[in-house]
Amino acid sequence: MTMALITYKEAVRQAMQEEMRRDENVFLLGEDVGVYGGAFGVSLGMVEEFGEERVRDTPISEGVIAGAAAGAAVTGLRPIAEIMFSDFITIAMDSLVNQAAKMRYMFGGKAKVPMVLRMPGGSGTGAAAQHSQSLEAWLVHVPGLKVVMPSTPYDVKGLLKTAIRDDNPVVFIETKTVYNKKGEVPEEDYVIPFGVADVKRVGRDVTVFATGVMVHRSLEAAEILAKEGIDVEVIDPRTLVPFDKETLVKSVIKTGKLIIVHEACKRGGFGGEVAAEVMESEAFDYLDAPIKRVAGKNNPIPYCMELEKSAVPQVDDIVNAVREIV
Amino acid sequence: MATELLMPKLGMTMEEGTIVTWFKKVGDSVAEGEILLEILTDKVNMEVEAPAAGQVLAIIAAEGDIVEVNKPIAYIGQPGEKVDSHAAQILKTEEQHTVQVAATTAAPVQSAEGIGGKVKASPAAKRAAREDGIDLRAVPPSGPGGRIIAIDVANYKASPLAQKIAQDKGVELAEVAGTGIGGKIMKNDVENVLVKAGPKAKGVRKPLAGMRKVIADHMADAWAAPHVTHNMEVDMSGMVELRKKLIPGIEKRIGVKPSYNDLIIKVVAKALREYQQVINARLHSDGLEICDEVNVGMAVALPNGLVVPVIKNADTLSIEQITKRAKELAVQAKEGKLLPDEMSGGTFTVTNLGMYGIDTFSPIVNAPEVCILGVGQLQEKVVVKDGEMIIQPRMSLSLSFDHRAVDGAQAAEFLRRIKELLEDYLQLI
Repeated sequence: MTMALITYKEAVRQAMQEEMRRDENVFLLGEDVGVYGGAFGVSLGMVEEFGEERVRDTPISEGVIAGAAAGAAVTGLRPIAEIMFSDFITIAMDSLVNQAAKMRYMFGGKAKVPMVLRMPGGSGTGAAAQHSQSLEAWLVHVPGLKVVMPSTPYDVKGLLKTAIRDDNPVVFIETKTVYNKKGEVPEEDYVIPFGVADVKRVGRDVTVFATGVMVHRSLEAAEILAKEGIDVEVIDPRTLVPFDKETLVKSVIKTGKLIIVHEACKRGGFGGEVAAEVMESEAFDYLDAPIKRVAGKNNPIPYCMELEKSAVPQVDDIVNAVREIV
Repeated sequence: MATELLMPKLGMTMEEGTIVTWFKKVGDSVAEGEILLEILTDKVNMEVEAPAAGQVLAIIAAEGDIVEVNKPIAYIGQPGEKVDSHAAQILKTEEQHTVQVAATTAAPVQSAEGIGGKVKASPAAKRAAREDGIDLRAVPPSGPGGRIIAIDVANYKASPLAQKIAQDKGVELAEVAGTGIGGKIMKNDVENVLVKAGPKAKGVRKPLAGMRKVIADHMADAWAAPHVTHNMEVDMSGMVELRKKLIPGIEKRIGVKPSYNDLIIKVVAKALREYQQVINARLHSDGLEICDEVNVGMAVALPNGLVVPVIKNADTLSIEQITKRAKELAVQAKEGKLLPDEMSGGTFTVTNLGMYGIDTFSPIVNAPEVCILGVGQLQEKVVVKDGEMIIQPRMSLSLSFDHRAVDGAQAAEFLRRIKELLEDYLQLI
């Protein structure tokens, strides 16, 4: 397999381009995704290749974006809808939760809703409280939605292709602070199945379960801890729904210790769900310390960048949490 | 009432014992059966267990002291409990010894007791205790907030001396099998692990990789076969003569001299065809495969390992063709240019250590093949023939076989046939 070193952002673009070339039913819609190339430049150059019919600028209304996507999907197209900041999902919720997520079930399987709702999430850019949230826990809670949260260029490309080819609504949360992170990506066509976690680092002493940018921070923390003789295993679930419980349980049985790291607020966060899954599994009898969550503080993300950092887990927080239980 | 610990009488002739080491000091808590001290009799060192659970209230014989059998050496009881008058008596009369008595205000024993008398222990510790039948209430905790964690249970399973040795020598107690009461890990158990591990040599540890890893896995698999090796010495006069006759012609035609190994491959291939039903076979998990083709592998040593290129259909080749093919394969092997196809499909292997001066050895069968022939060095020896001592070039052959597939007599017959062919080359025609 030939590998190319590309950014996360480029990987997202390539996935969309390749799928749009492969299947003429695939199209992109969103605010400023056309000539402007998207708020983060993800769709740069796409309107030139595919034209305005297939790379559609929409009005500034997430309700319209999600509603149009659901309608297009149920009538046979395969829309990729971009929500400029995942915070704006609030406005798209009715179309997403009450329509897109329910149609296949309520029509007895006769309707398919093959849509992808892409959205950059997370903090770290000084964009303040309305543009920095991590709301994946809301979406995970809704039956009928799949929720994907890739952390690397390789994962984002393979998973976005799977999302586009899936016949169900998929919420695809991109991590905006890793948009410019580079990684090796095969030049050939490949897909990554949903529900398969990736062990980003193999370790013996403690399992660190992390999502999004926290995968990278956990890996950095693991290197620091390795110098102290603590061998950290880092697991990235890649998709939250469906969830690969088996890989996590196997790891916890091996290490006996689990730390869950996410950027979203701790209260009501996905980490609580993960902890409960482990407690209910056969890994319970192997736990040798309480499960620990390292997560965002239960408050809005501050605008001041120094304060913003203190509101979400940093490398040191992960290092300290590991030291406490190992 | 406090429990007396007496100097045990460990044999009919034992009259006194020497205290070697106390593993606990006054104020320490002990579990019943936990090793308290080590004593020396006139014969052996022995570990002595606590007769009851509780706190060590008094130790009345110091390390190095010689104590008569059945005389008290320590008291165990509840914290704050007074030792009885008999003990006080002893204490008085044994004033010359270092005497330690627990103060009634001794620091509370660290315990994992939680709310309502429940034990605070991690799920992993509870599982370990359950599996090993250990009462967690007796296990000293080391986790945060007085929680018993898995390592505490593992440590509790070992005598203090075993723990200390394990800690000093870096032995994982979880990997040591205990032979003491209730599977308790004793000093000897840890020492046995150390003996098995051998002294730690200085050096760099590298993971097995590449060819080494392949060889390691393959050898471990092959070793699963029950091996037997037959040895037989052969008169090589005929082969020496044959080789001399062949060299000029073959060298002129292909530029290479036939080696003894080439001649042996020729002989082996012929014998294999004759014994195809028994020897020319491969053993798989689902049965024995009798092979139609006679493909003879030849072991070639490389600086970083060993490869076995295969001469296909060796029984159909002339000595000259075998010489040519063997040379090609050896050169390719040395240059690392062997193709996977050229190293597979073997039905028998010849391995030659003669050039290293090896007389005889026990090769490991190259699984899934069922036999391998080891070739030793060719050397002149004095032998007795018709009552006369004569000098003869001789060589030793070692045939190892997988006893699951081949019987001893079958292998012996096959080896005898090889000897016959080597000693009478006219049969090759």
